[in-house]
Amino acid sequence: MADSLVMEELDVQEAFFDRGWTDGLPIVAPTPDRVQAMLDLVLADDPELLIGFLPARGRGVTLEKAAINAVMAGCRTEYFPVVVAALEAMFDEAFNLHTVLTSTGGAALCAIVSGPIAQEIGMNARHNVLGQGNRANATIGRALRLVSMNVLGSKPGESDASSFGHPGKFTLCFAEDPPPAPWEPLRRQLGYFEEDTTVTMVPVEGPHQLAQQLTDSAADVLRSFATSIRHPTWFATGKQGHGALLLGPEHAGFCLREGWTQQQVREYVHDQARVPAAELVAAGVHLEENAQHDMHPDADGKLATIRSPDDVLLVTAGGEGAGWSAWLPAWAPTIHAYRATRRVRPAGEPLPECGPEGCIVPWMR
Amino acid sequence: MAEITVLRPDEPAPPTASVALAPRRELPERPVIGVISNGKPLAKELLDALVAEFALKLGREVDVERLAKPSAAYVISAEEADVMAVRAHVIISGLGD
Repeated sequence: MADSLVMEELDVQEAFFDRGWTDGLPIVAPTPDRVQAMLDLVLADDPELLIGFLPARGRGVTLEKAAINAVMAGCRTEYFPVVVAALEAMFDEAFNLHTVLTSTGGAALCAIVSGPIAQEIGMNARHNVLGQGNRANATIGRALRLVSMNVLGSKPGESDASSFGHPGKFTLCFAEDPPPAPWEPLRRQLGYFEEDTTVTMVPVEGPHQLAQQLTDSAADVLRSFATSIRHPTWFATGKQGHGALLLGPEHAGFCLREGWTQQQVREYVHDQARVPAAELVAAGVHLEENAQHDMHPDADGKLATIRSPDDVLLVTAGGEGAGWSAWLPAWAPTIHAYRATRRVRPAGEPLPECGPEGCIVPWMR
Repeated sequence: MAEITVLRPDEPAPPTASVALAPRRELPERPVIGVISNGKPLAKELLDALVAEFALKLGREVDVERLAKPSAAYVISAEEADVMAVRAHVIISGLGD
């Protein structure tokens, strides 16, 4: 059981602020009964069970610490399995959590939820999907940041070296709006079952909103988006990056009406986001030489901004309007960190016991 | 005024193991300088300049053993660290941007 403190109820907020235990916003007091309710939901007989361990920091996250921070974030009890799955994904070696939490680039911990549990707990997938107003979206994402700060020691000015950061570092979590057939939801694209719910974690820069309102041509829409994706000052431009492309209902609809498959969309965006090296140079960008990013152009003089078509995470979300979509660029190229996905264990399905170094959770059934 | 019990959300920093310093030895006439580049642009050039300055201060020729990380986002492996420790008498490592 975690150490406890006894204090006047009215003093809780200031006490937590003073100890550096918040993200700058007020919290819900993590009382033992609130925390226990979350642990009961995931059948945690052992609250010390490790969700994951970060060797570079010598720190791990137990179920109990995750629950304490989820309570503080304002999560309802039934959100907790999603928080746990998101944390499991963050501890995937490919996600490279230590660097994600440390980099001067200031990545947000973006959580994309696909599946029936997202609807059951009332997550928002439509209007204002990246904005405020939905408790599940707001608090699940916030819980991940509080865990990173309080348990993994990732605090600004200390091991969080973000030069700027961005508002998504408070919280960035949303649900997928399931696409019309024959397109498949994200979890199916990633190889999970229809009845599964998954959380995909992507370390991202701030979202870039994409407007295309004067055409219903899928190729025109996607080509213009790719032009934005390969913007010279995006860190990964020309360096084999990745990211999540959120297609709004109009733009996804244009593609569907013209018979584009999701793979065709990914391939087209990948190709159109390749950037002429000369275009970068003309924009004042210096190409890396003899360093970690290979910026030698291909035979046609272009550099890949997105490593491969599969590195475009294609998600349908957002509400109807004039025609909006969004690009969430990974904060760094694929050689540094990558997305990771885990299945949400429904309430009542216990977590596996995985020993002192935490769980190596199968990423696919 | 009502008192409540709250649970601590943080985790104390893990204890740092104290490690005894390896014995200090006289550098050989022609020491090996180990250089670990983090892969950032111009890291190699910066480290080469440091090696040149170091050799100048020593007043002798040096050999250089290089290790370049493929990505600044990862630490070198324990095996790589062991090899470098065996081969080099002094190690200079790049950190940050």
